[in-house]
Amino acid sequence: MENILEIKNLRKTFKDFTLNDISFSLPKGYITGFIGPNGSGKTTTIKLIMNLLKKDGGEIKVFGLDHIRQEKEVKNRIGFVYDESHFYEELTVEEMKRIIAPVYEKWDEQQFQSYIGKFALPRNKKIKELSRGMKVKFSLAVALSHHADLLIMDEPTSGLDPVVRSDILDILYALIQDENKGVFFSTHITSDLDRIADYIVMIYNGEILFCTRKDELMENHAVVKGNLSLLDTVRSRNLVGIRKSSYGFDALSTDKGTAAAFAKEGAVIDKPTLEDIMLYYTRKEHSHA
Amino acid sequence: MLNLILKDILIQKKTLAFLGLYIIIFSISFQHTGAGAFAAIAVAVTYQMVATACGHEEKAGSDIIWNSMPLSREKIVLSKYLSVFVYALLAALGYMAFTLLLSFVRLPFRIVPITMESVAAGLIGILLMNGIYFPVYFKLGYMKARVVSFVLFFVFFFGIMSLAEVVSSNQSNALLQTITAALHGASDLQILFVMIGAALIFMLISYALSVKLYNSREF
Repeated sequence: MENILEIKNLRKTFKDFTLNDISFSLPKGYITGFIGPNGSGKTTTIKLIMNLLKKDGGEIKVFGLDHIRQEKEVKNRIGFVYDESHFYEELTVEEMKRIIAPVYEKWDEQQFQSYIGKFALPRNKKIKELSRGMKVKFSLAVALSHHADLLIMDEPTSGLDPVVRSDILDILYALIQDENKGVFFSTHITSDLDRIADYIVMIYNGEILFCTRKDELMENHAVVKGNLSLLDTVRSRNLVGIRKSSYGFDALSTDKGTAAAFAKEGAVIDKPTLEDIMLYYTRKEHSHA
Repeated sequence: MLNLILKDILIQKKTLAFLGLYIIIFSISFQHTGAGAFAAIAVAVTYQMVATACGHEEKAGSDIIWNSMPLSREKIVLSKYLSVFVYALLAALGYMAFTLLLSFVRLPFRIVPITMESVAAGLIGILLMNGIYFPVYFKLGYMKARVVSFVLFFVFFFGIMSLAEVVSSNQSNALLQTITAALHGASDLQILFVMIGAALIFMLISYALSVKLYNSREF
């Protein structure tokens, strides 16, 4: 399978945080969710891909091209939507578009006008007068109007109402029907990814915990709940985020075998959501020996 | 490139209207000061427009979007340097428009006409002021560079007015005589052209430094 993005041993050190030699890749034709709690390194990773931050080490290849040496070519093929609009508040939608359009080699005016109509964006309204949802839709219209092959989105749905979020997810779903495109979507609203993501990359404390197909992830993980004594009975190391109380314990099993072993001893096994998986992985861990 | 310059003008449409008023008030205030009036107004208008454009960039955090697009950082920097000339031209057009208007309407004002000396002095002031300011701005951003910008404005606003006065009125000025002697008896205008050339070279060095500093910036 051809990769649209490849990251190898990427490192960036700040005074109080290090992105620690992370590696992962995104296949073409899929939506990849990038999850992790706030401060775990999602935005840093995205900024490194976009060369907004300078990497201290490692390699980033987009479409098989070096993201710095072939920066212009790479960025012509990337559409981006960030958590804030960063457009000039005093300009109208139309004026902002007029400034941005010449920057891209393959700007498609017809496509842009079609999105503006579809999103019901007022062309002559100043950006400061747009709602947050409209600003995100405008960013998305810009990102989708130059035939981008990779859409990079950093928390685009945070702070949006469910209706707007749903509209945006529908657009992404339609976009990904073209198997040459890819979407890399960072969020902590995991329910959005439950709906549309094909792959999930999870980052925590500057390290990648996993990069896998969402279906496999959901299949292999299970929430286990039972009496404390079961933790001694079942000999398994594959539990994360164990929480103990006087009533018993709950934890996330990271393989089918462990969940089955607990089930055999009378534990309750639940299907996790993506949010469960993220919470258990990031909960203070006590793996049971 | 042109779109970036256009953007710098569009984002300060309100400032443009205000600057028209600015030109009128300064022109009237400086009607008795002589050739330095236009030079000082050009420096003031350019300062105001550069500062407002940079302030809008900072407010929007727009470095993030421009640097996420297929635009080289050299182009982003170059557009800011070129916009300075556009602002200077706008200042000259505004000043000329007001002068023309006064020639039709009989008002008790006398606007100092634009002379070669005042254009040259204004240009030197604009080039030096922004040549110093931009590397600081591209290294530190608008907020941190604000103090530098403010100090530069006052130094150049009054400095350039004095330079234009000296060149146009006081032929026996010791400084000019020394420079003239060094240039083997060149005329004042020739000296000003040499100074403009030097200021342009300074601007080019400043541009190269700004590119280097902006290339190492992180957002």
